[in-house]
Amino acid sequence: MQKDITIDGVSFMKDWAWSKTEQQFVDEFKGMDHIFPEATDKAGKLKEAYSIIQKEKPKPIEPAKPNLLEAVK
Amino acid sequence: MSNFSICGQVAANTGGIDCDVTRGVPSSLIVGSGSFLTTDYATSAGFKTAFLQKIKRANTAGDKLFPFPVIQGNTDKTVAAKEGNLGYGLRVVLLRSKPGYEFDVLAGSSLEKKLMKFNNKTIPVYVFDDSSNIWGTINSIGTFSGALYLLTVEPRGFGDGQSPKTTKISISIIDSKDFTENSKFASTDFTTSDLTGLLDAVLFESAVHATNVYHIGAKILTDALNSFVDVHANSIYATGLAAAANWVAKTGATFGTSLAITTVVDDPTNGGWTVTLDSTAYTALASGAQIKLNFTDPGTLDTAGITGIEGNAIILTKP
Repeated sequence: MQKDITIDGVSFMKDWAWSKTEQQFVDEFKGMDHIFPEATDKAGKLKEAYSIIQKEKPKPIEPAKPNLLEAVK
Repeated sequence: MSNFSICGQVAANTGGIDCDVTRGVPSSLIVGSGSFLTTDYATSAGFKTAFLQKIKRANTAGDKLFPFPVIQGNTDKTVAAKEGNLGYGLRVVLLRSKPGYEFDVLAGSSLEKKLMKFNNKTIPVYVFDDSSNIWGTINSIGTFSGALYLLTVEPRGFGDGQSPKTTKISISIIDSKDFTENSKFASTDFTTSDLTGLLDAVLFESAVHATNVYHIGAKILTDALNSFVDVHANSIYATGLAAAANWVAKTGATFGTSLAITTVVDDPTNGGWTVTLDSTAYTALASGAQIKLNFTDPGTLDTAGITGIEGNAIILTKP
């Protein structure tokens, strides 16, 4: 799987973004001019980007369901 | 003649194989310690992939292979077998011949400097011939590698208007058996253009940084004064390297600690890329701490379509 994702010219590292909350993500970049320089609502744009990145986060593997037949035995 | 013999034990059957292959005309040399296990060359496609991957290794990799420029001429410098004669004239070979060759290659002064770093080195050498066979040697457990040669490089002088001048690469084999008894070749469909070396892309700060936000450019140095090739000026590289996955940052005493890169953005204003490091980790670094920033390894870059270069890291010192 690709390690990064590019959104409107900004390449984000996915695993780093996955480890952050939305607020931490916004706080990290809101003061940086080179991140989404065209955006009028920078915080909104960052939240949108965060949401896109989170959608690519792998789902945790569900624990195996107990084998009921084995349990009956 | 005696009817008793151990020829079958000390010698061998002498039948010939139809269409057996002989060495062709050398097209290029590939030097370095990269070798191939039986599993690597179990299939032709597997060998081809493995061989090209080793050319794209980082300089720090012990198994990297370095292709030399295409050969334009070849002089046999094999040292003839040493002979002696008995009293009645029987000629006896005292020492077998020692294969060696001198190759002419075209290399500009920038490349010649790189080639000179191999001068007087004992190094494994694969010879790629005009039948696309790669000649090397094999050991007792089946590992295919370059035969060990003493390699020397004679730089090109000024022209004289009389004869063409070239850079001369000479090889003399360490163990003559590696040229014959231990010799093996791999048939490929390579062309010499498949076997080209990497260029060093030297990273530099293209503008002053602001805390954890760095402006980085990359240049390929040339021998011309105050001249370099700007990697960012090529749009394929400008776009391809504007990807966080193609960069790596390390810190710590031996640069063994990863430092997270959060974003990378193309930075045409400064002719490079804006690389942002994780602010929390950056803030935690002491003043004077060093950060080694580089492109990722050339093999990964190649897979991402950024071909032919290897990043030379920049060391950044936190103020």
